[in-house]
Amino acid sequence: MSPPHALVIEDDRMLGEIYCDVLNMCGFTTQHIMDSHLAMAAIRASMPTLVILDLHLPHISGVEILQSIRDDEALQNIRVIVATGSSYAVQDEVINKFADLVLFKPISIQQITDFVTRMKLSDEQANVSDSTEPRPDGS
Amino acid sequence: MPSHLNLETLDRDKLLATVRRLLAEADALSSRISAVNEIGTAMARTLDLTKIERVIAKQAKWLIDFAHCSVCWRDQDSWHLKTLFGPEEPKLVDLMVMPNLSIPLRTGQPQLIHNGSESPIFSKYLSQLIIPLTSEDTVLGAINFAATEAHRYTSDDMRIAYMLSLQLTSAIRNANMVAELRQTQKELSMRVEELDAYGHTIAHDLKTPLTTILMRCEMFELNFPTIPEEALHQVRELAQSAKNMNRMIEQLLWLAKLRNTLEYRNEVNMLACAKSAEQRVKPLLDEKNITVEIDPDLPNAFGHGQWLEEVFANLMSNAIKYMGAHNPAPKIMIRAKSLETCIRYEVVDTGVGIKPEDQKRLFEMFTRLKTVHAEGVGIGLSIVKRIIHKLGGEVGIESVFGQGSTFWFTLPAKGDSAYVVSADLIS
Repeated sequence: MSPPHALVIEDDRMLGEIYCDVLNMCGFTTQHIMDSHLAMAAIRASMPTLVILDLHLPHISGVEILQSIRDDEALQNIRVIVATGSSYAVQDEVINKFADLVLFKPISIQQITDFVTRMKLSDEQANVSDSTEPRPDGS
Repeated sequence: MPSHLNLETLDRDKLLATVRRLLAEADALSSRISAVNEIGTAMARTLDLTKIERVIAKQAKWLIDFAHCSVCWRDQDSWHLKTLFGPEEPKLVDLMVMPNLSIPLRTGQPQLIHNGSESPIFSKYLSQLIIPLTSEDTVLGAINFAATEAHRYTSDDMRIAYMLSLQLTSAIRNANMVAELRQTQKELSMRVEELDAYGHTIAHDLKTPLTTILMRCEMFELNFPTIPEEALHQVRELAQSAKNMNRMIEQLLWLAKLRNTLEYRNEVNMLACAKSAEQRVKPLLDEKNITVEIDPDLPNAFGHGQWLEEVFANLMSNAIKYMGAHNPAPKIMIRAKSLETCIRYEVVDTGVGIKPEDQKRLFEMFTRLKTVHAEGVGIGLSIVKRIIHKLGGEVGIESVFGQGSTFWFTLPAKGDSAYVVSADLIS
């Protein structure tokens, strides 16, 4: 089985690289997107399991990207961690509704690894229950 | 009274007639003067130039006979005419070819024309009365009356028109000043908003590099588990500094929030506030072996719980900072006294104390005393001051250098007490 893929959308080069390092450590292949214009195309092309999304991006905001992800039927299973420096995110409806996790900067490595562990666990359980359920066609 | 009248030689009837005529003239003049006052009052009621003009158009006929009434205003470099009554006259005033208007507008001298003028403006009118509107030696404009027949206006008419012009000028001046004030006020609040947004953005933008620093420090420890103890220590110091910086950013955001929010005040359990504040500074208290005594009967006050917890936390961390390195019995006490209309809360410490000259500057933003080496940015106490003032209380300090300090603040005991905009007690 190929390793899971994660996409980091963060306009700060160094911070994006650290997110990638942490995710690599967790067994993901990663891709760092700094230009918000390229974000949606990259998501559709690579179909990541997980996206770390900065909110305060030039041009297209993180909230818009989050909305676009959730508007697209094909991208429904992607987990999105919103990473933000702004406490205003708490009041944002789109974020509250669509983000799987909101992290406020400064963020610790453990916050990300904890989420990934929980995510993998719930995916495994879902897979187990999927395979035990009889298929509708009886095969 | 006309000088050619010789009262001694007049017979009784003629004398009576003269007296009656003079009385009637005086009456007429007096009613015109009171009409001027009425118009003045009506103009003073509004700060809108168009409304002021409307008052003149409607009411000036009680003062002066005219077939035409207009006002002249300066618009940047040119003068414009606005007809208030009668057939429309040219709108643009050309000072070169309109001497009847150019003289008053240039010199501030009124013009009384009895029998026509060469000007292309008001050319239909033989009688013209043009009164400049001057304010502090500047000609703001002019008010013009005109009548078709010659010799319609007397010097009395000019005086009346002049009185009207004074009223008009002061109404315009008020309107202009208020408009200017409103504009300034608008610009100021826009600037404050911009500054708030600016501060907010900067504070939040700072968190991105801060996250990089902290996460890199963590990564370093994870990736190099065998590094020497000394290197580990240095990396941890780096991380600690980044954490301190984060706390400062949070405090700056707090200060900005205090300007923005006018929160609803309610009864606050001050004992609970003080205890949560103690929990927040617990690691520092433990590190320095400081004991804390909070009066279990601390009375409730009227304010905002989250803010007041911040006040206690700031006052306690301040006390911790200035406890001194070799304090034999480091201790912080929190207690309160009920005064007549308010409650006075005290945070008492057994620290190094504060010199009188330093006490003055204490609550100013970004002040840090040099008495002992102390960590942290000096905005904590200015947050305390801002919060307490917003809640209608006062802050202060009593301290003897070398014998500890008492930081106190007052809060209204009840919600109905007046909102006190307090003078700065410290300065």
